[in-house]
Amino acid sequence: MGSTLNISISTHQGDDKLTETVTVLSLKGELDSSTYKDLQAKAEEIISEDTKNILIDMSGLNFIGSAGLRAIHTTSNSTKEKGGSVKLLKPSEASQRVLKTLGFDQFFEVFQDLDKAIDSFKPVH
Amino acid sequence: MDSICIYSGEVDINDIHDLRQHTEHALKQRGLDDDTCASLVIVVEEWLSNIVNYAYQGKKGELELKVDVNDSQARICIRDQGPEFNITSVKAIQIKDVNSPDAKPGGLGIELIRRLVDDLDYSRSEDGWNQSCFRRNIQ
Repeated sequence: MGSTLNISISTHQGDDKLTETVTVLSLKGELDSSTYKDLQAKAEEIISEDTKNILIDMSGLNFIGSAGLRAIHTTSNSTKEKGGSVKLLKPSEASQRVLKTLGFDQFFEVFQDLDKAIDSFKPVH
Repeated sequence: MDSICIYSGEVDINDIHDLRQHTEHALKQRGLDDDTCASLVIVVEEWLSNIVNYAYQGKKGELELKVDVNDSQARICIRDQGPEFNITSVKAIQIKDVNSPDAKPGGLGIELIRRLVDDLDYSRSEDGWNQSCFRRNIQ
């Protein structure tokens, strides 16, 4: 049996009206050399539909490789072009190992709490 | 040295998941800690995907995967019949440059391997096999 990656999507609005809409991509399974294209395709799809703020929930990932990080990196660059960003939520132990080993935890904002993560997308005036 | 051949035969991208699992099982059976197992499984993912995508360009190709374990180290050796490619000669990439919007993120896999192992070596046999070995010290 090959790798599997389930991606579920939800949209969130923070408590106050100033907070922007955030799309949460919840990943479950393995983000590796054979599944990273699924994430990339889904991210491209929602970005083309005017999503610019993406929170990637990594709590359900039991494996991630560099191809997975590359997909997150590509998604991040696409949201930046629209004035948005990608942030990470609750990286699993497997995710943390790879993020820290490559130093990506310094380039992405990482949150442990969903509400705080959603609120962090509030525009700074 | 406790040596086990995990796999010998043809592979493509769809086989990598199972080979990761076989490697993890073999390492855990030999009592290695979770961190060492997880790190070496990542090495297997990265190097096999490199071989399948670049050396064999998505087609099926021959591969041998072997694990050696003793009291002080675990060693993964992977052989392939792709063009000569010496991992030890690949320059390290600067991670800070990877996340700039203009950066090309190639080379991340090899950089990840470098950071997860204590030593790596490469040899090319006269009959056209690359052998790349990845050693990690056991705490």
